[in-house]
Amino acid sequence: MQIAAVVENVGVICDFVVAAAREAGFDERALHHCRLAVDEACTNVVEHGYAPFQPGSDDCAPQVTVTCGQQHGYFLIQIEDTGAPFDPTSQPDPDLNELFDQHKPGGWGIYFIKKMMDQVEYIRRDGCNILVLGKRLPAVPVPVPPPEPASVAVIELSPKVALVQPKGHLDALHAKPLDAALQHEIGHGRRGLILDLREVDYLSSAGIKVLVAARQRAHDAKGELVLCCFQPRVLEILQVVGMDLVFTLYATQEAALQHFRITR
Amino acid sequence: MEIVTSEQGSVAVIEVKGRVDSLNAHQFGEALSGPLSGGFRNLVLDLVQVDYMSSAGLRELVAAYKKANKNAGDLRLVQPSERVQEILEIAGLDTVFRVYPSQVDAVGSF
Repeated sequence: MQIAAVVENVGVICDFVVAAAREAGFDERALHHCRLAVDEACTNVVEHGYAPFQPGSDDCAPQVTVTCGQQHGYFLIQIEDTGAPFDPTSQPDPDLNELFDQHKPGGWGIYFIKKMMDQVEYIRRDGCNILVLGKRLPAVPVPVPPPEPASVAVIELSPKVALVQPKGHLDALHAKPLDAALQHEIGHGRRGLILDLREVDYLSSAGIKVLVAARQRAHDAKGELVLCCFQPRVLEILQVVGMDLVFTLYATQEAALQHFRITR
Repeated sequence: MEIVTSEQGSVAVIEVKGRVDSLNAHQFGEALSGPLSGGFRNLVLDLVQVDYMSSAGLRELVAAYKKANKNAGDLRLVQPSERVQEILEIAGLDTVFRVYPSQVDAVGSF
């Protein structure tokens, strides 16, 4: 994945890596180690690698590129940025006594990366910092839990407005119940629909198609569909395909309710 | 991350829930330094419900510990979660903080 190198995105990157590590068969403890290592590495990139980016300025936001793969028994995470040259592997380990003497304590981030991963390599190439983190694949992979079957709850807020709460993976296999529920609500005179996505952990193009179709149907019926409450991965997918410009999005359910002037 | 601060006698008790990372470490640090600047010498930090802490959080924790010590006070912990305990150990900080099995024990230790 390639994403703007800003602190708000570090969590999204961690989720991306943890999902890949889970597929690779790591247990929860190892997944925590992967998250911590990637968190520390990417935090360094966004905090030290680039001059503070001014949103709204003409410059492009600096990017960080993260890829995951497997090779020779290792799960590999590659983090690439175009910031100032910085070799984390050359940093000394923190010294506790020194830490307590210093005005501002710190220096654990890189140490954690080294401790959490089995292999840490740094290369500077073509103006890029490339950090490759490796973790030995488990001898016995943990089976990946099957995605939760998608379900959908509809709560009537007023005769004209309903809250729709889908759950689980919204992909080609599982988007049907949501599609049916939205069609039913619009078909039965519901004009305001709030789609609360807090329990949706994955959105595929099939899921997006359902959202777009429902938006169109609501629009044709002189109604409106708004979305609220996003997990980071879902918000990222919406942004990548430009849906954040098409739909009205709210971070909280309260804000979405206010959109239809509903108080609970 | 959620933070609840309460007073138990002369001790400020700070209960944290969720994740402490670079995005909210600043807020975590302020929750710790606030009572210290507001006249409390002793803090109890309850990390039972913190399931994730990165070095950014650890930095704030140590800064608050140093600040408390400078004022002849202390920052003591209620038994952290397994995840937080592990990073304290790796950082070599597990022997620095005094850790108690419950909030009551930690407050009572002062």
